[in-house]
Amino acid sequence: MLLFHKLFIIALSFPILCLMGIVGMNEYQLRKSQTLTLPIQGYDPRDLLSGYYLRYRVKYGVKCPEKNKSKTKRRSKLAYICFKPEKSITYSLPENCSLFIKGKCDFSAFQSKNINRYYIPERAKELEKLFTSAKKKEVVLSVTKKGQALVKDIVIDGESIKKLINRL
Amino acid sequence: MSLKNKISRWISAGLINQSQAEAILHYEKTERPRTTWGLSGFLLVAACSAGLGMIALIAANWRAIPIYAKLAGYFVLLISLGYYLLTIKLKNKSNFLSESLLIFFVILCLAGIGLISQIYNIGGEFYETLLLWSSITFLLTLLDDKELTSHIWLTSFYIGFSSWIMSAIVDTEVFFKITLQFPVFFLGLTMALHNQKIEKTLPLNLFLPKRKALAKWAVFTGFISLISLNILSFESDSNKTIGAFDFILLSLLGGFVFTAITFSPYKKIQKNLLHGTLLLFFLFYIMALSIELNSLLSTFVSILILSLPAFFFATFKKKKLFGLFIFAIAVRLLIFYIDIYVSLMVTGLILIALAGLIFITVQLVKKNEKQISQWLIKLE
Repeated sequence: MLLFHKLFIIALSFPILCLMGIVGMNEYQLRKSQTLTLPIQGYDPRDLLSGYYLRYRVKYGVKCPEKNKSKTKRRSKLAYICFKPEKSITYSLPENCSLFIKGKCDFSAFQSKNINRYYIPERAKELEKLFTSAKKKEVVLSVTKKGQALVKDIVIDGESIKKLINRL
Repeated sequence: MSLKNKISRWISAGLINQSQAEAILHYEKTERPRTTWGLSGFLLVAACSAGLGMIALIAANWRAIPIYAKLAGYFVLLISLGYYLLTIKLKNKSNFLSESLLIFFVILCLAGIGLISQIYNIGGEFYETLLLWSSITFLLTLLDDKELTSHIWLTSFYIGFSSWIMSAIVDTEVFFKITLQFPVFFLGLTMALHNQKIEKTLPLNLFLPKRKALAKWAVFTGFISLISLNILSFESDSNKTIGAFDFILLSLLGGFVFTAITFSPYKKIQKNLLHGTLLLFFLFYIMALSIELNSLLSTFVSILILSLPAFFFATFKKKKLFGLFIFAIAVRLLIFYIDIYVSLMVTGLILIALAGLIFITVQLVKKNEKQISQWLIKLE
């Protein structure tokens, strides 16, 4: 087999293996990580091609501490929010914290990637009404030891959003 | 021009005789396989219609499809397509369909990132998607012999990288500093691929489309950078800073590109034109980022920067590219005129003087054409 053909096999396999790897990593994280439930607020539906994302804000219950004076002009700073043993936000990796999420402090608000939206297939008007009128809205996260979080579920008044969608 | 008209001209010029003309016409009518482009067009419409219909059916029932079925279906499609492309390559039987399917494979990789993001509710910025897509398809793009895949890759990389810089760094000057150097980087890569050793070691069908794509991107990003530098040059100098980072960046890039041009197989005059363009570009970069320039100086430098590549392409008799740069010079002059507009009378006098100057220059060049040609040969 020519060198070119060998390289071509690698070139075709590489994206497939990378994408499979990303799926594998996410699956592992969802199953093996710690679960954390946090209240959410806000609602910003947006139509997409085949459904829409439910966008919300997580209520962490704690604000970012004042930033240390820094020479950099970055508007956001890397931060960690610890949940166990007690809730706090720090700008360095928290010590003696068994459950934390990695994110950033944008001014005084803590934000973390990947946990501010949930995909809803097809337009579900009834779901919109349910969400806005619900008393208790929570997001169920799976959090790794390195502080990376993924959304497992949204719970509206004690019921999983997946069950609600199936009922619609 | 139709074939019959061309043949008539060839007969008049004495290139072919009547019997040869008849033989050519006969061959074109009967022997040459006709591409049934009409029928192929309808088939393409049918294929697109079927494809869109399938997408619509899947989208309508998206909720009903379990997550793992979606992922399994996607990977089966991707792997099957990859296997088909590999068998085509191994048999050296590339055709229009296989080339289109390779581009479809690349786009399917992007679709896969979107699907995974949707299934696992992964957020993030669009540039992250583009940079991931660029990373996983880089090797495939390198090994494809079509210019289009290079353009697709360069577009995603350019937008992804520029967006990343803009989001990661608040100071827009720093963003400009890095993205301004894209044309220099692309020029350097184009020149590096002109190296004779590389031409001997790598397959021509692979790197030639890359070189063409990079050259086009060098021109395209060059225009963007020049516009950005012109905008920057008008800003007041109280906010401008130029420091060690800039000189290190220019030194590294300049060294790389200067060397690549020097070792390219171009004639001396062509290399000098490129070297001159590079030096002027760096000079304008330093000026724009350190002081507030007046309109006249900014215009003058911009026109010089545009003139040198125009002459460069003229030496290759690339009329379209030469025309593009002349057009850009004209646009820059128009912007200058709008900027310094005093009165119709003054404008009229300036334009007449400019026309006179161009006319005299053209006449002088025509009169001394032989001496200029000899001087250019000496320069080579």
